[in-house]
Amino acid sequence: MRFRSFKLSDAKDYIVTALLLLVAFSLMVNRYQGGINSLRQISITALSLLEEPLANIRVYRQALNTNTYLQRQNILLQDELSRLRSIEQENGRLREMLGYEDRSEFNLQPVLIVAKEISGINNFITINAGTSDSLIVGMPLVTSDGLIGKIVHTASYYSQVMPFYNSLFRVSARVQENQANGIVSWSGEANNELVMNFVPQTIPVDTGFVIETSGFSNQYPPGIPIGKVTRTEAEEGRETQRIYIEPFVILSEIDKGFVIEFRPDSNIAKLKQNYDEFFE
Amino acid sequence: MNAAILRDFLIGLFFIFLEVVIFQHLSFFGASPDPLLIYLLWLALKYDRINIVLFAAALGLVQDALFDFWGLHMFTKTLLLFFTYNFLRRRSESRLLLWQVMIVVFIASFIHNGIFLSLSSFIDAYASGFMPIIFLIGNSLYTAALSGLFFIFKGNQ
Repeated sequence: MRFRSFKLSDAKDYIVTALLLLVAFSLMVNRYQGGINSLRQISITALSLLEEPLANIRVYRQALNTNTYLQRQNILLQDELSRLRSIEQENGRLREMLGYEDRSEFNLQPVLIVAKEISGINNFITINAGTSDSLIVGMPLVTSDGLIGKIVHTASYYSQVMPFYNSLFRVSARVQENQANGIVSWSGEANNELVMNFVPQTIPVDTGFVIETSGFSNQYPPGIPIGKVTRTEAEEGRETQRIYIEPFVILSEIDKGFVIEFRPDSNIAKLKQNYDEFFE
Repeated sequence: MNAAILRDFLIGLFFIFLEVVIFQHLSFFGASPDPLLIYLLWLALKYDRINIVLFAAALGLVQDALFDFWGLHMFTKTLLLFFTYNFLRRRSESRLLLWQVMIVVFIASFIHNGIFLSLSSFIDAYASGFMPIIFLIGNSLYTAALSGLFFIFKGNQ
């Protein structure tokens, strides 16, 4: 068995180490004292100077992370913004419809447009209400902007509407400004224009005049806006003029509407029948 | 102070500088390495005990000053180098392999961090800033891995 012998040089090591440990311990305990506090300030300054060159690199690295984060946030916010805009538009439309419902003197049946065919000649619109909702053929479909068309077929829960962009569509109308009467129809040529016929040339009609239903046909209640005049043309060889109208309702954009629960006045219908029989 | 000691001291300062500007920012899960400890362990193979203890104290003090630990590194490194000196000298007599170097550094770093943690808890100054497991094991593993890299580049010299 070998024993370690204690040398004098070892004692020196122990003493120096003990002293160093004592100094270190004193530093630990007195770190908040005046002298060491001053040293701390110097060391912090030195550390700042050492780290300063790398600060830009850290900033750049952080900026990359921030950039990625912001891009992700941007996409989420764009998505949210898009949805909010859509909701805002829908909210506006619903508010207008509610306002129109309050203003209208007729009973209105709110309906959702479930199908649209508006790119041909015999266009139609399908709504999600039918005979079970007391709808009958002939009732007009409107929005808060104006007339869309009238119901031509009904089923229990759905109805088909003939919109104004249909070659068979006719509505008795008048110029709001001067009460001149005529018939509004669609020429089938342009998808943004209706034509009003049978208005005498002697009646002045200007651009911007409002055309609305007259109620004379006993098929539509009077006063439903149809559109505004864009131009007029004198018909050759006749004493009437053609009035071109831009409809208030844009069929491609509508998704909801009201069916006006309008029923033709039976007395007027009977009088008309009698009149027709009288001349037969 | 001869030129060799001065040069080694400056190299030690460079290791501290590396820790300040690079390694403290390359932390993994909160663990960061202690390159000065690796350097001191390597230095222990060159110098006698009194010198290595003085190196540890001086460089530890500089490290303390820069990291605002005031005395903790100085105390820990001095104590560690003093007690592990003989062991390290015996190991230096044979040529070490990479994994042996890493294990030696891991054990030394683990003891160093253990003393550091105990001491900081004892004086109730810096304990709240550390997660003990990460500090003990994570830092030790990271320091051992770094020593492996140094060993690969430096060789068994």
